[in-house]
Amino acid sequence: MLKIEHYTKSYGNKKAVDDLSLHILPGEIYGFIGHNGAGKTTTIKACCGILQFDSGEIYVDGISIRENPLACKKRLAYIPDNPDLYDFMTGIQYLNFVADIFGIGAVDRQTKIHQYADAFDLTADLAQPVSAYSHGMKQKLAIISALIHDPKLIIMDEPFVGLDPKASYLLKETMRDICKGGGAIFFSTHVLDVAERLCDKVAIIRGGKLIKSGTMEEVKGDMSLESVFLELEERHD
Amino acid sequence: MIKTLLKKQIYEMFAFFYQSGKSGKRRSKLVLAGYVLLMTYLAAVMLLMFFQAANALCSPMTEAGLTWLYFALMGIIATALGVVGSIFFVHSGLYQAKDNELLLSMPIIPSQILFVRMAGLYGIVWGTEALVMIPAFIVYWMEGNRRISCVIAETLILFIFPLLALAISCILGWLIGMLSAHIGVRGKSFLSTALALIFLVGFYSFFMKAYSYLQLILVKKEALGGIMKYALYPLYQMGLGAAGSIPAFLRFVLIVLACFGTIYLLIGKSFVKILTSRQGNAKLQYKEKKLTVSTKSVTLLKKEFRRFTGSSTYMLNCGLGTVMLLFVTGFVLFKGAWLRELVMQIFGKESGMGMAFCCLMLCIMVTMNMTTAPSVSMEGKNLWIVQSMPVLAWDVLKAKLMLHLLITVIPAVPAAVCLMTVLESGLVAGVLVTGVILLFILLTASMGLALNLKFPNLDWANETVAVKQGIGMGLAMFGSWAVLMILSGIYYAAGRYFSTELYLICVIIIFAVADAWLVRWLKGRGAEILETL
Repeated sequence: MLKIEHYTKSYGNKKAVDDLSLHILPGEIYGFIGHNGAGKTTTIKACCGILQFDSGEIYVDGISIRENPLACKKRLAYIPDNPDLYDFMTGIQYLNFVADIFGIGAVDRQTKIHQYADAFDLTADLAQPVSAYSHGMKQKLAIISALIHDPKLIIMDEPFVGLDPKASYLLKETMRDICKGGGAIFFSTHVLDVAERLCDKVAIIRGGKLIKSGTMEEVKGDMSLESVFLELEERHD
Repeated sequence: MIKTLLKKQIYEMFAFFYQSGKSGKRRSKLVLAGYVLLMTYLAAVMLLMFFQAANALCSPMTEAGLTWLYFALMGIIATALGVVGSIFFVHSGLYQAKDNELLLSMPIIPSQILFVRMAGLYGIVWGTEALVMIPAFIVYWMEGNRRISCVIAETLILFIFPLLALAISCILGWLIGMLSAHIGVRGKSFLSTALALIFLVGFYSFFMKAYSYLQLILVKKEALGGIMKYALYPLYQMGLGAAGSIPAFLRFVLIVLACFGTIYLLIGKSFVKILTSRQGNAKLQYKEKKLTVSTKSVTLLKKEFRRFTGSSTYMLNCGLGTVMLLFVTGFVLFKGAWLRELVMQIFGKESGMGMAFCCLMLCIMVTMNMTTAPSVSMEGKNLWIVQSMPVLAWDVLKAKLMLHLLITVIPAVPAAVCLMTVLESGLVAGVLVTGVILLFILLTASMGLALNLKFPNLDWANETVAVKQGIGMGLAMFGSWAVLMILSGIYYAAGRYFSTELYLICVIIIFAVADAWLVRWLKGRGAEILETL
């Protein structure tokens, strides 16, 4: 579903990500772990087609993001680490805007918005302007807007930050449901416990380079993901 | 502590100078020099304008023995300008600064925070008033009034006088804040826009009639001077003080300090309370209803329209042309005969000059609408939304262009049609004038958008920065005026060699070529820039 091949991105002389290759298959939840400034967001943004890169290729559902970004964007949903949404719209106006852009039919959008807004306890707040939302509510709205168009791939940057326990649980359940339906999830996180329990595969990045990847068992063995991560960090210091 | 806070405030105020709004990195020396040059040019234009106004007022006033009135009139202009320039910063600058909570959480006395915020506002008012008062004093000195006591008093007035405008701004800003707390976001935007429009209309009406007021004052100087001494008592004392009266100067200082001190104390009393209590609006209950389905283009246009109507700063700074064009239509409908008579008197019956002049006036009003010039910057931290969606960058740009075209074309066409009908310009000339205006609207829209793509500022905390301090905005406005000046200059110099209709056809061709080139650039390179911002 998402194939990253020899992806390299530099800012000036500094290589933010160097020759990264990952392959996320349909049905997989793929965790992306690394310290601050490791290159996670740079990789994620390139996968969503909002950041140009120097070399390598990124394919979404077999389509090159470089050559056909629009077709890729139709298949994916992106949730950034800090959901800065349109403050001048109400929650429902924002969801309707997203539905319009993705060409979702009237009945379908109504059903999906109702379903997910109810699930994430946001229905009562949909008439409020986004400017009145808390960080968690904005995060919920961004998640709902990502789900209403049934994406094949969801790319998330620190999706659990700001979510209340119920919403966090619900998001994890929804992630599993999407993968059961043949979709794929690629997300970055600092919450290693969540990654350990949720992910089928995991990749650890450090200083822009991939230092370990594979199934959860391959990466952590008998240890905890946290121990492995800290050990790898120490080894590469 | 105050020194550290003041340094932070000054850095915050001038951050757009040193820091790139696009990348957040420090600007290169070349770009910095460009900014300084542009700002110097803008300040020089304003200084020159007020120098001329002061020059026209000074001699007749001093000769009539009304030196105080000269300073008072310049003081009124300076105060009005200072209030207009600062009123919208008062509420956002004092109560809505994004680092208020951070500063309150630190071991800083709240009164120090207020002092620093006020100092920032004072800087804005001082900068605005100086554009009027410095030329006023220079003209007075040039008239031979260079006594040392006068120069000292005037220099002190230059720094004390802005406190009066700041006090007025604080009262009005506080009122706007109080009113807007009881209405929604959109209502708040419209309220702020309406208040500012009322203020501007009053300001310009006064300016339009300034000459007749001056004549009136000169004719009835004793009677009116007597009344105005009481009506404008602080300014009367300021005028006398500037002319060298030390007791008057001291009275002026006392009055200003008393006014400002009272306001400062009142604000100081409620400052922390307002900062630490969120009044909030009543929660709107969501009632599920059928959602409207729109095409991508329409939904993007709706988004632009919501952004525009959701911000009074955006509407006021970029949509004033719509109000002016609607006013022209109304004025022509009610005063058409009078206007026709006036145009005939000035330009003659057969000359096409009157028609060309009216076309130019409408084009100038068109330049008051500049929604595209800050539209990319206005995306700010929301830019990721359109970038990550399956929508062409050109469609996003097109929506920005469409908003500009809609809010300008809709009032411009009836204004042009009414004006040409009243002037009895004939069908061909009427169509040509309308054509020139329509193509000029597209030119200003696409030029503003292209310039904003070249000079975006996405890293702002207050939308005023995106709207008012964007280099693209200034360039688009001055660029549009430069186009009009060049074309008018050519017509004025060589108009007698060809008919106005022929000239309008040439202008249409020039505009059409420029429009086509700009739209092509926006579709290609412009879209690429938006994708990679």
